[in-house]
Amino acid sequence: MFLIIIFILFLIILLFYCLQDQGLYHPYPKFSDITENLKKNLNMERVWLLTKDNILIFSLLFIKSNSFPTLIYFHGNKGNITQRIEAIQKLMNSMDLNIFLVEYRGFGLSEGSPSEKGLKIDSQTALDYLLKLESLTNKNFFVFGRGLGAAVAIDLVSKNEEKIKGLIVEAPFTSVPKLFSHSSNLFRFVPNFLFRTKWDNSKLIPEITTPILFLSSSDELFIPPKMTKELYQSAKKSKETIFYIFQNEKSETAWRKQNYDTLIKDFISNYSQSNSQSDGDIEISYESDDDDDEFFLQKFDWSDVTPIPQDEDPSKNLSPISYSSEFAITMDYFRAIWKSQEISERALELTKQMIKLNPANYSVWGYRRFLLDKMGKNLKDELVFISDIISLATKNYQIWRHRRLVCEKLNYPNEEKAFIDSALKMDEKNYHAWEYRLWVIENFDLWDNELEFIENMISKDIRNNSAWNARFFIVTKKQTIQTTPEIQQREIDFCLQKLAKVDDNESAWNYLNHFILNNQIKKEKMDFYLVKIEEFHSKNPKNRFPLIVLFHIFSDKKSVYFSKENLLRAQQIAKDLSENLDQIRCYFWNYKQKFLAKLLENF
Amino acid sequence: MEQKEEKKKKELIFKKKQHIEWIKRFLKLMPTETQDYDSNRMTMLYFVVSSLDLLGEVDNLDKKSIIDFVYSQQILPDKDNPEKYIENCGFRGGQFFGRDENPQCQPTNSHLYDHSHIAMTYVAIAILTILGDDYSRLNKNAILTALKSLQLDDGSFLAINGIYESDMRYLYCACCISKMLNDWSGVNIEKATKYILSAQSYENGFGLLPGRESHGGSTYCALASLSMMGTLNQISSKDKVIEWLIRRQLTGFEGRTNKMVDTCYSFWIGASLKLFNVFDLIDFEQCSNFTLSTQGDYGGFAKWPDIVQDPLHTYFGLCGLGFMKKFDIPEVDPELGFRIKK
Repeated sequence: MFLIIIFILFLIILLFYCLQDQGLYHPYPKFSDITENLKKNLNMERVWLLTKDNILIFSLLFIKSNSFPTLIYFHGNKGNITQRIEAIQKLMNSMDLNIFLVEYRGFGLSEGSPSEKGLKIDSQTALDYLLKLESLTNKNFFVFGRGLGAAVAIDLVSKNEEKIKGLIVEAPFTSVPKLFSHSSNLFRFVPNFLFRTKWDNSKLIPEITTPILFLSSSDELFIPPKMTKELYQSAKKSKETIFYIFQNEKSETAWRKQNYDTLIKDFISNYSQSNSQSDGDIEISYESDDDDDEFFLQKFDWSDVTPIPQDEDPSKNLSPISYSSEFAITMDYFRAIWKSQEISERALELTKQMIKLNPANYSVWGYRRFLLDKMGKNLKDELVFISDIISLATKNYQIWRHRRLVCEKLNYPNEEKAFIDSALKMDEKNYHAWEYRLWVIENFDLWDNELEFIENMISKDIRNNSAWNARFFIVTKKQTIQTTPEIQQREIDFCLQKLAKVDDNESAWNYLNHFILNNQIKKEKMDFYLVKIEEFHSKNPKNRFPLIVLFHIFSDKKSVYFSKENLLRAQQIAKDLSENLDQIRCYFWNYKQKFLAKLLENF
Repeated sequence: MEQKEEKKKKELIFKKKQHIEWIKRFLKLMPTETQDYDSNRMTMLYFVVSSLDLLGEVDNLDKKSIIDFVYSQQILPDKDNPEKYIENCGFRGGQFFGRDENPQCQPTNSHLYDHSHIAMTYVAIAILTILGDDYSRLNKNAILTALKSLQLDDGSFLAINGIYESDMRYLYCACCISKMLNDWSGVNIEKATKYILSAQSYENGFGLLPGRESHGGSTYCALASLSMMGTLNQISSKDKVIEWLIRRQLTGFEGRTNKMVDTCYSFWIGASLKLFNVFDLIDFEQCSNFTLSTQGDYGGFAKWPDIVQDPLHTYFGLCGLGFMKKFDIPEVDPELGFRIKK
């Protein structure tokens, strides 16, 4: 009998432990239709996010202006985000703010099922998305949470303090175990470790330095103001804390009050920094002029055009993409003008908008070029457009090719080097930028002063291989001219000079290697160079590069030093490289030794 | 010390199950930030399908719906006037043009702006091959006629008829298409070979265009193309090319001199070495350890450790491991880049 009781108790405890999440979270109702909201309100954007553990979560992004601060909004335990749209809109009507309304896994349209670990991943995913959103020029981010959302918010801020300017928590609780024991005496005796889900805010709040606004409602039963006050008092490291209790209110309704908005508005404007940008990075933000902010639908009359939708029904289609409504609408209209082959200002504007949304769409670029041509547009303006958007995607093939095609048509290279420089500032080894530069030089015969530019780039970064390659291109005029011994010597001297500074720079050694084996330099000078290279090795015996060059000097059939004696020296070098200096390539150097052995047989 | 050892051991485990789950994600509803894939959906699908093939999961897929999707992107000759816009034939990158679904490839009217892209044609036919399709709905003649119209006088290829951008990648696609269709009427091999050889730089690798910096990706495209055309032996400095390739290994492989290692080069450089039959000269341990260190906790491979995983690096990471015969991953054909079943 006693055993049966123990067994039942054990079962209850097991169920409690395992089914906590199912009991704890209340994601009902699951869904409310927001199609009408979306149609009316182009500022409300559906964004589907993929968490790092492959759960797709739903969110709504309300952008009033890219220059306003953004608030990430984590809702309470009941229902789904669509029920909070009214509250969001009230907030936005009373201040300069964007709001990112995030749906937890297992709630609303999001996949998966809720858990503490899961919700923490979801919130981080949302923050990461905002941080990556280049269109948001204002990098002041705030986080709001009510009830369960407060716990999510507190956890997120504790892990991302440098990125978040302020935390607003409404009806936060100390921890789940404490909440349970407060709500029912039954749970008072349950030990902490049986609570798998803890949301231990009382542990995190004291460590947070971010400013915190604590909101509470006097009549709140489940999460009493006392609990919120406890947290407020423990927030000793926070730069500033504010505590406010709404009298005669519950947290479900406090948001309707006038001063609710004022409190939040003041908090946000106090802690927003002007020109808040991320540290360190060279931030060249996309500059849009006022004209661009107007959506293409508002700029022209489109009433005669029937947009062509693309069916993305998940039940019918493979890999459907959850396009933002802006993307979907723009493509719907693009398809229409594409099909009708419309040539007009509005069509041109449409291609511009679409390019900003998806610069990889080669067909849109193609159609834009067709329009520019047919409409006889001033292509110098197009150069300006491309310069404006290059920061969107500096490694995008289409932007560079478009630039080249426009430049070719204009036959006007004067602005190209500056354009290329703007891209190189962001990445000095950008393959597209260098590739294009070489084209400009060759196509317009702009060989002069290039060596100076390249020397400059090499002095900025001596290992910039793209610059070294460009040097070769200039010196040999894309291998169309035969270099003279004077030039060959000059180039070898240049390498040696650079190597004196940094002796293990593979770019310089590769460059040197070419001219050492391909020249008409007098033998006495070559002997001198040989000694110089050997000196590099004796100065720094661990440096494999001079040995590799010597290997080639001694074993290349074209070399003036090709002889039986030198082949043996080359073999020894290969052995040395294989066993000591270049062990990762030991098989390769062994292979080379065998190859030389064969050559030696012929002597 | 022990923690570091354990972390290292953890990193070296191949997370096969997680990779399968992670990749299959891309066949379901995709997040908003993937809208850039809109015009390249076919390449993404190729990475997904081919990765699943390497992981032994392809038979668990709904092959019919994938094949139907691919065929629906085929651009067919005009039903009334077959010569009209024939240069547009091939495959689209996705359904963004908005045409009605036509998986059975019924005759349709063509449209000036409904054009194919050579890379999409390559990966589309590749997907069909991997899934065991018999090419019955493929209009080979149209594809090869279009291919021919894409080759320029210097031997290089355009991606899209009428849009003048050409580089090594498109030449590679042209060769793959010809190999898969077993018909070289669309390629002037002599001119193409000449173009490739003119793109060898002083470092002995190949640039994206003549005169450009030696790059792992373009070197692979150059060598694989020559191999498929049967003109690989026209490289006079084979040993020097091999040396440039081998010297790209730091731990994993870098794509250019003095750049950083990146998972995908274990394929670009690895496959290049395979073409010369010298793949075994690399250090397997260092390369596979690097690739494994880029695994995500939930699957996928990335360019470097601790950054976001993506289908491209996942696919090429798997290919690299397959070349090294690790974890029962089969080897892909070094020329075509995917597994050819006998």
